Amino acid sequence: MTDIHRRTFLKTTALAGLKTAALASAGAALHATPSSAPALSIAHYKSSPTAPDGIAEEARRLTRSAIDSLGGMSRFVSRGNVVWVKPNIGWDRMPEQAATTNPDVVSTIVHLCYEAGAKRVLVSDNSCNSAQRSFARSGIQEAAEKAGAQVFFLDERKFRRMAMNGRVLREWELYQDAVEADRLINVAIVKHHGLCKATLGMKNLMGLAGGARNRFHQDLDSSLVDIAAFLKPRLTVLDAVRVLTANGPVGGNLADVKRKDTIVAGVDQVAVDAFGATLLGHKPEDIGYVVQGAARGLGTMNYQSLSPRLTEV
Amino acid sequence: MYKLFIACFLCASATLVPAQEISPEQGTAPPPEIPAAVKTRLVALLPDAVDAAIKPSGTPQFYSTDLWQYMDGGADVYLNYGLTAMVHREYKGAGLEINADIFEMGQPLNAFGIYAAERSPDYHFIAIGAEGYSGDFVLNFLQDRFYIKFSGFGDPGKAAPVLERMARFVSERIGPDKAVPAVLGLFPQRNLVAHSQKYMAQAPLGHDFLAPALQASYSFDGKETVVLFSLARDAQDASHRATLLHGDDMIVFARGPYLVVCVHPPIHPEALIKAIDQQIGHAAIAAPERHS
Repeated sequence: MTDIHRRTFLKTTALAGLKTAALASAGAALHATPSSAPALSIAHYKSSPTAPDGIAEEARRLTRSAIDSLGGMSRFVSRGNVVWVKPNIGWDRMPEQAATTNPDVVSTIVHLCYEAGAKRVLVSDNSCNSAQRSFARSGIQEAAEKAGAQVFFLDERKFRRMAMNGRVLREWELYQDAVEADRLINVAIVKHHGLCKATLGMKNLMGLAGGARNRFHQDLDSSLVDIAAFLKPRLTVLDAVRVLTANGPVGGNLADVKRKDTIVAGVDQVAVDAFGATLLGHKPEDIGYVVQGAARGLGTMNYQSLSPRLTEV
Repeated sequence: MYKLFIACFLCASATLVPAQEISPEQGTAPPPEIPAAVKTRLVALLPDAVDAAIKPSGTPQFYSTDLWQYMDGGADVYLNYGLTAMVHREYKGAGLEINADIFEMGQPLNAFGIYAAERSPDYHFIAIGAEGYSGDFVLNFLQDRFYIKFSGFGDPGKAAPVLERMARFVSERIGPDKAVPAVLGLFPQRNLVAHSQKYMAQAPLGHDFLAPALQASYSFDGKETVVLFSLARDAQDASHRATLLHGDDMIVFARGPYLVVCVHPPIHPEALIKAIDQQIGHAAIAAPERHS
């Protein structure tokens, strides 16, 4: 099986009985979702602590609050699920430099997944810099492992060409285990990007693609939407505790890092990104992949129409 | 209603524009082999060891058009500015890890372009090379046709002096020429926002026909004016570019091979225009180095 369409794959394996339990529990989770649960939540910290312990506490509390406001992690993760958590671990950068997802946000998501009954939580990314250095320097490896996640470097042999039937990506190599996981949770950081203005949730999913990813830059917006449409994360979380406002995606200079003390979470990845764009001073319509994501029916750019639940922590 | 129309238009155009398939098999030319002499030259710019404790870790890595393998997402800007070769080397010791990157950009103006694209006027500037700045974990500078970036990890109090020592070593190795490209002298100094000059190889003010161009910010009574010199091929080309540019709140005029654009000009722009004319009148600035 060299070419797989995600839906076909899920259907096939479900019929084979391999995913029956997972699908049943997913259905149960959906039925259990309170009708009043919002599609988008925004948690903001009232203060802006500067001590490392204070920032870590802030990240943990904001993340819990944002997920709680959506109805809790049990809305997204069911007992026995294998969950793939996809942070940004792309760069050999420390958390202070805001080029990678805050490790305490990632570890909190891992904790919440286990609390919701997850069997295994996997954390990885296709790093741009050396994976060994990026995983260690970002603090994500240590934090996620302490929370009980399996953190590992991607194995080149596990990228498999899949039929995506996208606008520009008819097929591409994606990481098989991530596609096969029962749940995909996208945990991105909000930051500037030299090519597409902003790295947000949909951009972060590029880290599950293999091959010559520079080719995406021929039509980056379309490529990102193709990947997002294919992977369809169950939950998207944006880390905006620290935000890299210039010289992204790599950054490095602390002068470019601003505090926003915010965590965004939602089921509509376009709406999440639309709000995320505003944290960088953009309008949603300034970000090409947000516009295209909305046009192609992945979600709404008008995040306010979802009546986001705002929480001050 | 108006906003709704704009949103609908954006959505429609996003789906209606034909898309060209991006295929995994698509032919991509392999990166040109970096000549051994270039590799040797780049490595020779870096110290063999910072001191007895801090030494190179691993072998140097080289990139050219395959820079994306080192910094996917960040590489295109460097390639747009004409990157010819780059060396990355890591150092370790004394509780520090240091990454050294030297980008050879072909021409000093290209090196200035990528350097300036990544710097902000509010950075902490230090006297090194043609221009440079430092932070707790970084030290970046420009010299000749090279853009040099250091990043350090560990105790910032320990890292900063080590980065500076390494940077001064590289600066010495590059040579004595520590001037910014002379064409930057086109900008009058009065009211100029320090360190705001940029060189844009693509789409200045969003217009491809203005490229390449130099741009800087000026402050008049707290309000920002942007001055742009579009570097045309000749006077005729500059005049032609003027006919293509339309916009409110800007002054546009051609002077020899330059198209000058002042965006949000001051209420009394005469002094600024006179100063620009004086700078352009300095033939030494205008002629031979204009595009280098």
